[in-house]
Amino acid sequence: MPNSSSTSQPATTGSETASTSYVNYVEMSAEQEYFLYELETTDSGSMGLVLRAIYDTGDVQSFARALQQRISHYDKNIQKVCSFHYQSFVDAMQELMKLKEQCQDIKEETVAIDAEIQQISQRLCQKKQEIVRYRKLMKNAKTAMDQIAVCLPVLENYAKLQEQMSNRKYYQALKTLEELEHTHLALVEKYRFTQVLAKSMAPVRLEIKEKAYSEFKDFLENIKKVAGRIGKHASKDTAEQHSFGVTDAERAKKIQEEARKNASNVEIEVSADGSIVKKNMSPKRNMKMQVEDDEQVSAQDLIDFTPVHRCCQIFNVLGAKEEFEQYYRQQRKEQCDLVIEPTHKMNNFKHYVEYLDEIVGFFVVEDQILMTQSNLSTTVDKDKLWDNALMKIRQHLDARFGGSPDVLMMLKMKKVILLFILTMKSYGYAVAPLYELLQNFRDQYNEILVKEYCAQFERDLEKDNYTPITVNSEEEFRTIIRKFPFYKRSMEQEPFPRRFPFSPFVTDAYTQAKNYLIGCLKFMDNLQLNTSAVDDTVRRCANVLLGRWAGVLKSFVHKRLSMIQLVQITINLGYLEKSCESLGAFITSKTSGEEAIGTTSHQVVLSEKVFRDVRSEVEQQIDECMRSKVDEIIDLANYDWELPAAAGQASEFISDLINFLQTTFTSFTNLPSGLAKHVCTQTCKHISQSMSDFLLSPETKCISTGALDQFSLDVMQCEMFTTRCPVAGVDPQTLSMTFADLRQLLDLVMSSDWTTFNAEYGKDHAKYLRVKASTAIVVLEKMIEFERKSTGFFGIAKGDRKKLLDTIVRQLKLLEI
Amino acid sequence: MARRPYDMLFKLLLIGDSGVGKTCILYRFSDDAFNTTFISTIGIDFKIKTIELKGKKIKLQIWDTAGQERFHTITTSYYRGAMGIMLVYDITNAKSFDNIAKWLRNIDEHASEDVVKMILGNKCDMSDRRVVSRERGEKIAQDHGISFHETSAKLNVHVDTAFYDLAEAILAKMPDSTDEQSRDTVNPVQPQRQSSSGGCC
Repeated sequence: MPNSSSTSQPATTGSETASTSYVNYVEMSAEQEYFLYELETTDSGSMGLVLRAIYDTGDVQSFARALQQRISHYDKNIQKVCSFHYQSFVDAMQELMKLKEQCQDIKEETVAIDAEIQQISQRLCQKKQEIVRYRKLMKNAKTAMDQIAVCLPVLENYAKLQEQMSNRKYYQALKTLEELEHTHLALVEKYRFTQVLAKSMAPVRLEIKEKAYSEFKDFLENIKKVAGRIGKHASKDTAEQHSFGVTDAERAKKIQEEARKNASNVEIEVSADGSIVKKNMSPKRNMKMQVEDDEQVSAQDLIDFTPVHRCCQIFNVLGAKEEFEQYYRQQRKEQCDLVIEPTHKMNNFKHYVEYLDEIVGFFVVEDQILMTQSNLSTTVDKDKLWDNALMKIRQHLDARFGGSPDVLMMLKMKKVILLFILTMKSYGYAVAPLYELLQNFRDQYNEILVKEYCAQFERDLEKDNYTPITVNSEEEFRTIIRKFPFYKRSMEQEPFPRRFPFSPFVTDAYTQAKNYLIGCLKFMDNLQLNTSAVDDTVRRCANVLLGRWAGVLKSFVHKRLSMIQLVQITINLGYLEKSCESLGAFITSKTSGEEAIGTTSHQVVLSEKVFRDVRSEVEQQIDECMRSKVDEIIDLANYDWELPAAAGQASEFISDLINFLQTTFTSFTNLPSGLAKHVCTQTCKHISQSMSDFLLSPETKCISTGALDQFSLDVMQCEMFTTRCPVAGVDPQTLSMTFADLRQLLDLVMSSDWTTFNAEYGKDHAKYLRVKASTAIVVLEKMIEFERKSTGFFGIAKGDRKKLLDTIVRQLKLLEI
Repeated sequence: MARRPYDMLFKLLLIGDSGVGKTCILYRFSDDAFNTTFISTIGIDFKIKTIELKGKKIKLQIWDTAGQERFHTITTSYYRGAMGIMLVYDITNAKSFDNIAKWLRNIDEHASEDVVKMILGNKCDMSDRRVVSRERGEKIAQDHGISFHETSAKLNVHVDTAFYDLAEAILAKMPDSTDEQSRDTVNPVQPQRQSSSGGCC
């Protein structure tokens, strides 16, 4: 502003000066005055600005003259003031001279006082020095005390640490160590003894770690010792909770209690977490709750889990948490491998129970640790451990029972394995492969069972008396009825003794079948199969057994059985077939009780037809047996084919044969009618064929007329049997046909009715329709041979007959063409 | 020539009460087998076994009769053709021994007069349960002028002996057959007819 103002003024002044010289002087004076005022009032900092403004006006000489005037003015004022105050100055100087004298006096007086004070204060100074020394001493003492006070906690804690270490309280020791290092030692680390302490504490941490590991190993060892007992307890609990003799209602109650226990386990888990967060009191509280829970779960009574928790805390503080977790998992894995590897031969049932109890105990502990120390192990780790163990357990059980022939042992093992499965399942472990194992065992068990019952079936066949059961009292009658479902209303009215159609074998077999089915059911209990699945399986088992039995029977009848045995077997088979329906009802009552009514139509049907093949086989064997007997008698035949004349009655062997047939068919009243007819027919056919074979056999070289007559008598005896057959229902006409061929041949040859034969040969209604020309030729040739031999003895008399027969043969041979 | 697989055919008959062991004796002799299970015979059964006796092949056709009462009528038809008859009783069953008298009367009634008879006391191995002494058995046989043996089909005691003795006794009663056999080389035709005739006997 001042500068701006200066700039404006010069411009205006210039204009005024050009007008008049008087006006110019007034204007210069005002401007100069302003400049002088600025110089007098501003500080040195603004001096430059004012001088610049002066130079900017361009009139420096004017300003210099104004300045000179102001200086002269001020000099005049100064001279006036000096003149005015000269007299006061002289007066003042006089006052000063007086004062000088007075001050000198005071000085002298002061020096004297000072000397006096110095002398008097000599003792006081001494006292003062003493006080200073004592105060310094006190200060040092206080400092020392303060420092020592800071050091005392270090020593106390160090002593405490030593004590805790000797008392094996490692976690507390570790906490003390931490406090020492981070709190107390930091304050006194400059001292040498402190440094020595610090060095001596370095290995303590390592020692704590080693001791913790050692304690953990002891813990693992303890677990190992009591694992079997834990497993045993757990299995007992499971047995109580599940269907091992317990009702469904009680089972539901148990399940609820189990759920509550799981809830309290969850609380413990929270507490365990809390124990990590709150490091002061939580561990104790956690332990207390732990103990309370252990009392409820009896399986946990045997183990103190404190070492595990303590180790977790120690390693957490040590900063080696990962290391401990790895160590834990490794140790548990190794321990698991040991547990699932059988330690001895496992040669009796007790060893297997102990083996599985050990495994249960191991995994119960693992589950418990997982629940209470979830950071130490994970569900994944546990499951991995279990999956590996499961595979090996299954291998071991398979290896030892894969070929076991002992049914009782397998039933026991099934119960043990099933209890094992249920126990592990209740702790959340996957058990599906073990169920598969059990089902494999079931199949194996059933196979063994089938073999046993087949062996028993064969024994029953061997020892049966093949005689219809006879009862002599009502009591005996009821006994049989209870054993075998035979219902014949009229039988209850019959007088004693009463005869059942079947032999004891039937009641025995039926009983065995039921026992077999019960045996199959025993293994299927609790295998997680529903009612209809069990029913179907048992029915399939029944069919397997029936099929096997049929096979056994088929083999059995191929032994050299007597007629009595074969006949009774075929009767027995009929009743076994009928009993299949009763077996089906038995299965239903065992598997689903009354509920089965609605499911009957879906049931597997027991295959009674398996016995049909066997029945055919037996009937065939009856044929074979009868044929064999017939052959034995026919082998006694002792024909004299050069007999001159017939004996007038049938040969002895034929009489015996017919008598035997008569007696047999009369005596076997229990032979089923259809079968009797069949056997009788087949037997007659066989006899006829055998007789023909006699006549046509190449071994028979010649036949006399007398021999033919005798042979004809024998055939006639057979024909008489067919007309008087003792078998009811046999058509005599039909049965007689079995000997028709033979009869026509004999009639033709013996009556020499060749003219008729030749004339009618090949026609539908021929008299000798059943005779082939070739057959007739064979007989004729044998007769010719006989004639030839006779001619040798008796000369020409027989020659004509021979020629005649030769002629007939030639004619017959033409017919053959 | 005629088939001649054997020289002679002897027909034997086993009779006695049910359960005394007739079938077991027969099986022991013919098959050398024993079955502990008692299977009651129905009607009639037989076994054929060839033995050699004094240089001759003799076929034994042995009829086994059912001992049960209901079969008695049926089985009497076999008495007439029998050349030798064995009466069997069980030494542990007094009733079966007492019935020997009845069986002897049946023989007198239905069999040919010259039939050879023998009494067998079976199950002699069961000493602890014996109720019929050997002396009593011997006495009744002696009284009727017939031979006696105690046998055990189970242990194969004297079974073969009994059959061979019976066969020898039968053979001893056929001197004509023996004499005729010796003339075989003189007249080939006649001996055959005679042999056949002998079979009829």
